[in-house]
Amino acid sequence: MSVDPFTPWQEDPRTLRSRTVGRADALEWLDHACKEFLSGGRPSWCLVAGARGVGKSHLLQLAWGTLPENDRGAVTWIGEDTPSHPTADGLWASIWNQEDPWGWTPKPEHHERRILFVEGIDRLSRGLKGKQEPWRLRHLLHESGCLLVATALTPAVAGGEDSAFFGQFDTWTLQNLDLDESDELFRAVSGELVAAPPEVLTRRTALVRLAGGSPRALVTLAEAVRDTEEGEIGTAEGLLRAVQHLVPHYQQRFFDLPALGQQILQVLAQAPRELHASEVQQLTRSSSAAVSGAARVLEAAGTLTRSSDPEDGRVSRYALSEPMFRYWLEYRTTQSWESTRISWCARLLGEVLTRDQIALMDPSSTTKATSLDAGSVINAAHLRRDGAVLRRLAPAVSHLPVCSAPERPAPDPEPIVLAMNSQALDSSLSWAASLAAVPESNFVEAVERLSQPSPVHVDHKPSNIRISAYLALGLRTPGRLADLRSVLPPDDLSMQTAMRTLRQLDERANGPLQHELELVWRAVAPEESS
Amino acid sequence: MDFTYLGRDAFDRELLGQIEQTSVLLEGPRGVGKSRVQEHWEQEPPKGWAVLRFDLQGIASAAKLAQQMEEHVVLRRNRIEDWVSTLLEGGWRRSDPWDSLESLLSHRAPQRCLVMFDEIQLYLDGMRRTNPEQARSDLVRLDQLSRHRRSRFVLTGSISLRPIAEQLGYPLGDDWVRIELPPLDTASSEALFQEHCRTACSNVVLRRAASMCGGLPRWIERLARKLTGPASQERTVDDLDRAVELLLVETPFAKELAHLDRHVAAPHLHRALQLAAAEGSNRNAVMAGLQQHLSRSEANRVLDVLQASFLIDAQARIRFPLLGMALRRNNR
Repeated sequence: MSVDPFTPWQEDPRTLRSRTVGRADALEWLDHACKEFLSGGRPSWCLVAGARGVGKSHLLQLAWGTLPENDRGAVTWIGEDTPSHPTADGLWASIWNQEDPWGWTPKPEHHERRILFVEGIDRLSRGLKGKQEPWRLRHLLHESGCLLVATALTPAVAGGEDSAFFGQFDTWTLQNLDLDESDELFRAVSGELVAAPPEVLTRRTALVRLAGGSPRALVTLAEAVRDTEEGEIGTAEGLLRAVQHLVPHYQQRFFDLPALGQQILQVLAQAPRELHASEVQQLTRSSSAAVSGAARVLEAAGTLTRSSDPEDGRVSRYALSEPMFRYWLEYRTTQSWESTRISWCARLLGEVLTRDQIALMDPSSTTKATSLDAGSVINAAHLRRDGAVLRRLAPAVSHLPVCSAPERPAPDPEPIVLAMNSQALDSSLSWAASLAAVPESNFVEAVERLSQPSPVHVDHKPSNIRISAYLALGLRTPGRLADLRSVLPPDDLSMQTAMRTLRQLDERANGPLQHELELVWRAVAPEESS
Repeated sequence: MDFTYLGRDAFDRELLGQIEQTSVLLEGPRGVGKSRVQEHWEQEPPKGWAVLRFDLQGIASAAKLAQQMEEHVVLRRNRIEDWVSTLLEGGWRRSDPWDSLESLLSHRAPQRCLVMFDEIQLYLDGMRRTNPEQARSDLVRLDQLSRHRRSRFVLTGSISLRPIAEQLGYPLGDDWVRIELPPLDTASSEALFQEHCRTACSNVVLRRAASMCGGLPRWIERLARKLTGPASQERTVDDLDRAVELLLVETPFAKELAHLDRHVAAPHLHRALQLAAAEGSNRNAVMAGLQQHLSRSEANRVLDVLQASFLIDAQARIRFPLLGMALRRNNR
């Protein structure tokens, strides 16, 4: 990758500036604080807070770059990888009197005024052992008369009442970019024009939404699709590389969170739609207060968005801030990556490519995708087949409500895709469609798996599962359903419901569900539908 | 000596000098004595001025406003036989109190008229949320009337009117001068406290009480009444501390903060107050605390609201020590 969003300090500030979007105010604020100090003013410590990948180091590098070269004073950088120290004096010695016994870096000149750029002051402060040590560090910093410009993951280091740095920093918390800013940054990196062909626009919109406003994810995704010459397959390769590249980013963000926060994120990543607070409580088996508190932490960390339910303003709905997180989590945690990677990639492509692009993919063409797996071959027909289940949802409208995580590799090489629809259709119908698409040999196993309690099955009720199973049978082989009907007692409500639903579906075959039915039939009997 | 109007002579002169020139927005924290200034002027009108005062506390609708204004005019006519009584000849139309007021000022007032509205800011702020068109219309009429050559307006309120006017899309011009009613100075505070206490207090107690009440007459009075004990014995600092505890338990400032609950950012406003009340807090601390859930610009707006409500100063410090103590108690 020509742009590495993990190491902004490696880049020339002028290059950084060319892909700086939505940070003009923050940069001006930082610039003003530095220049005021260098011109003889009192040091007003600055803290740039924000989630990982939001652009804190980027901003510091820019601020340093805007200082006049001949009058920068002495600048000391304490990077993110600086070892923490248990004592304030020890840490101070490593900060203030940086000595390089090997002569790799030039010794800083001693000017009267020094600006101290410290990345991760919260981490360094946490590393100090003993209650008094942070206070000692604060004292040493004040005594030095330097201007401290620091970064932290949250502003708690300056706003927590029990923190030694309470009230010591003028704080600016960087937020994720909004959609317009995200689009601008994406274009700046990918080189795409504002007015692009429709398929490029669709792809861009989808990728921007996937990134959820995180500049690091945006830059990575824009790099991934830049100059993709191999059409859709090139995009597939690029997307996989992007997710691989973002592994440390999401991993760090995940591990920064408290245990319950991690559980909530996992549940949200697996769920087919936004979840109500009560559902999150149920799925994480936690109390209302605990979930609410953890959600606030996640919200502050920029990993979760909370919105009011339009039908009931008292109810909160939770969703992932960065839908890309869902794909990372599956990529990292699935135990049978070999058997799921194709459907995973197909779903990711389903988000990014248009229906027409998927449909137009040439089934006879094969492309060796070395990045997916050495020696493996992605067949466009595979993508088409897996994508077909998903095409009923317009790409780029929302992140795809699809869950795929079989607990053990299926005996059939084809993956089981449990395509769960959003709130537009009830869960029974959605499960029926999924089950109808499951190969015959896996049908019973899939029904059993669906019946087991799992965070995936949000509206889990035994009767709904049975209705879904009957519906699926009715959809794929109506004859078998008739046989079953003759065997089951006439008061079997699940069967009655299934039959009634089938009749309704049949009546509405020309209505809004036509496409849905078509897809189900195509998945069940592709030859007939064609 | 009128102790309820203690220490306001200099301010009276300043205000009188100002209304010769322009209408006035008289603002200040709750309990500082704004309404008392209006009541005082209603009872003892300044020379050369006829006074008409409308109290809008608790008024939340246009109909109530019209009713209140009419009732006040009628009451005033019954109580004092003056020029207002001539009003009824023309009739006061409840459907349009502003029109009636204008008619009164144009044709019937024998001399210059000082029209005073108490807490019209709260009325407009509440109306802005439910019926912004009506709120804007009331503000426009009020502003137009204030330019009447025979009248001056004094609007008092515990929140600032200018931000509300801007939110209504009708920024007030320079012909409204904002004057903040200052808290009582230490000497007046001590004298008022001693007057209401009715038993002897040591100088230390008086100074400490005056300091804790922040010069707000309402709280000086309330605290003094809690300071009880044998009449023969001088009150000590311990007595005062017990009185403060009692006061904070009985009066937890719910009324002073009630208007914040109507604000769309109410949880953040309360959070900001809690942060501001913490020991060693400053603007940086409050901003950092707020930015755990808000952007910097949103956090700034939260502080602006609190500042406009006279609860914090520019450095985000709680302006009123007793309120700070109450908030810290809640924190614990």
